[in-house]
Amino acid sequence: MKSARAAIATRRGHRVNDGDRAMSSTKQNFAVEAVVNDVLADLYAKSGCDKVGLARESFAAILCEVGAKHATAATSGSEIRTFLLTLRVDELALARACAAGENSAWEIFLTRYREKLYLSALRIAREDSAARELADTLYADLYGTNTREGKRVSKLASYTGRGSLEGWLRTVLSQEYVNRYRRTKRLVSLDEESEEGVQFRAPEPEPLPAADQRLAEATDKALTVLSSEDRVVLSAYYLDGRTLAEIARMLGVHESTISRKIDKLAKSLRKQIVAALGRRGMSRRQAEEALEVDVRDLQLDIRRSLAQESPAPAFSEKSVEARVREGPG
Amino acid sequence: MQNLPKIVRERLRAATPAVDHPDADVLTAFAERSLPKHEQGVVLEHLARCGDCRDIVALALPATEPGEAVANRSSSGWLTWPALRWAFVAVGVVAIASLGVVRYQRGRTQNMAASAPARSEIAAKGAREAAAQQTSKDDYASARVAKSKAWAAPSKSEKIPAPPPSAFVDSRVAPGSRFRDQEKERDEKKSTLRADRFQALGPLPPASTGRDAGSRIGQLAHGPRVSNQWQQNTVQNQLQNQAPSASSPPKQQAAGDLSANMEVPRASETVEVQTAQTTAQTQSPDWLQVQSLPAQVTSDSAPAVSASGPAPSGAIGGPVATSSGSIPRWTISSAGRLQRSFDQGNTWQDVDVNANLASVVGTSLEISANAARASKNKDARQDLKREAASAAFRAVAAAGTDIWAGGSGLYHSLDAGNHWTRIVPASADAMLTGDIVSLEFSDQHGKVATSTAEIWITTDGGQNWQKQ
Repeated sequence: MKSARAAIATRRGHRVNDGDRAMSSTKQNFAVEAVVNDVLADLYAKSGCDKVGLARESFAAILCEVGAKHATAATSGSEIRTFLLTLRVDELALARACAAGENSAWEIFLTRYREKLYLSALRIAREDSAARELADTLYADLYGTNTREGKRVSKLASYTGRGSLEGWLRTVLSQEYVNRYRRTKRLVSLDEESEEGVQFRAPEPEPLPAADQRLAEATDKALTVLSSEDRVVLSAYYLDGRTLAEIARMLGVHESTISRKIDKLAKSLRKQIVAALGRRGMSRRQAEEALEVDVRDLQLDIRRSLAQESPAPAFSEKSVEARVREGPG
Repeated sequence: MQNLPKIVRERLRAATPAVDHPDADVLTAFAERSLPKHEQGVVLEHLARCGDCRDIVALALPATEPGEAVANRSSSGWLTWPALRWAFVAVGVVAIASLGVVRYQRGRTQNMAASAPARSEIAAKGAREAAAQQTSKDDYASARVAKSKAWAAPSKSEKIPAPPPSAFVDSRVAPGSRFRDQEKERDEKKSTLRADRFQALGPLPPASTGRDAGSRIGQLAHGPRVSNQWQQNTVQNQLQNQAPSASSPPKQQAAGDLSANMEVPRASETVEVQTAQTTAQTQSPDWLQVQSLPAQVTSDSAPAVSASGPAPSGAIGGPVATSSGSIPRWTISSAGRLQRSFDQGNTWQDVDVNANLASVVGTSLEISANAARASKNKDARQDLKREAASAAFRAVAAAGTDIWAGGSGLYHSLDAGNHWTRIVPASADAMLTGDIVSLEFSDQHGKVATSTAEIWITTDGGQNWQKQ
């Protein structure tokens, strides 16, 4: 947001400085506040704040904070209004009351979400002890056992009501799990690799031979024209090893849609890359050869990606297969 | 599933996220599809590049709901929504097309009655339009138009496709009374025309094949007359010509039944007759030649226009043909009686499903029958008896000799209606209630809808049923 504002300011010829930025954000806050005051009555009624022990002023402040976080300089008043009206204010009130340490709120929270939290953790971790650990860790975070500057910090304070609280809890659990698992999995993979006798080398940037350069370019080009959804589907299926059903549910479409999409995409990608390579001077046969899956090179991939610092998949293709075969959660 | 070229995998993986990871709230909102469009796009773009976040979204999915499980499990079934929706679309299209044609024909009726002189032009135009309008009868109609120009070639009737068995029932039976009236008019007129025609038979041409002859007869049911007769009966006949021709979509399908197609181009036939008569008298001999009728004439009533021909409603009698190779057509009379015709709709005979009722099949019905007997419940027994006696029908579906008829009860015949089985769709915990209002059967799959808004499905030709 800041850079957008700066860009606009620069275009207008103004010099960007902190003062400018502060002023625009204050202006923005005023705008948000105005909208909040407008809708406060409705939202307060919907939220059941009194039941969870949240004061009206605190609720208003929360709405302002959430609104400001979402709005940019370009957001109009009506957009802010629409946004605020789509929030799940009852769950927001509950979560923030819990974050503030209200006992009545916590009682309600535990009644509603304790069991679900554990069950979700079990589904995610797929194993009892890991699930318990995961759930307990999250509980501690939610309750706010961490303190910063003497003030209790609860993860629930970061819930903004855009999605359901239950869904948010699942997401947070998954985030926690992925972070943990990724850390340990890497170690496990390395162990596996050394056990199997595969050489593990320090990463070296191998210069791509000329043919590969053309191939990489052609592939990149073919991939960029795909929509984000298409690429998500392909990555989820071929890189993450997700099942068709999982991908379908992730995107909210029918399983057969995903199946058809993947088939279509795989075929068309192949065709496009061959065509692009042809334009770059490769013969058709050469192009098709270049596209063949080379099993030996798969291992090379694993080594390379394991060695990378930056985002890389936690799971190698082999482990992905194993995980998928173990069965879904 | 296709394999993805290795390089593609690599490049997919190599993509780095353009924006920061969305926070838990946004990911949750994405998964629950409550993000606005543009934000959704941003998240999707991030997901395309970030495996971690994809994992998070996948892990955070709620447990599969039972509804989803059912949908996934039956995804290979014939009757699941994705497959069935096309069947519904097809049925809808056919229904709309047939209604459209009906309305068009009606409109033309009024036009015809209004302006006498302009009749022929309108008629000629109508013939072309009517020919163009026929959906599944296109081949036949165009063949007819071609024939009016050159009678040399033998009939192309073999090419007429039989309408798909399962598609037609509802649209045809539902607007029942209108069609039945038209049928009545059609049959009256037919008898009139036939009588007239025979008064001036020309030399019969050698019929190429029996089938051809039959089709030509069909074509000429309101056939070309000899000119003097024609002029006399012009007005009456035109009125009559138009009305019944409105019943263009065949009532029930019968596989391979030519006469199903016979009804449709009637309008165009008639119109062509007029055109031919007014423009080129020389064509008449050709028209007259193509006749071989004797076998078809079952009842010659008096030539009076209002003569009661063998109207479908209430007509009982005529040969109940069990002759092989004779596949009857089916209809339901305005009184709700099931009827069939072995002569392409010229005569209709009531079919009594109870005369040869082979059995009453259906778990619950047997149970209730037993219960009725056991408990000496007079009412129940009387209900059964009454039901069997009255057997008012509302829908019939026929595929060759495999007939399903439904109304107050569901009946099935495998021999073109000579023997019937009463079927009561029932499952472990429910039984079909209400009257049957529509039937759709195709191969072994059937769907029955009732007046109590139930839908029952079978996938094995009626042995087992499930309530939807």
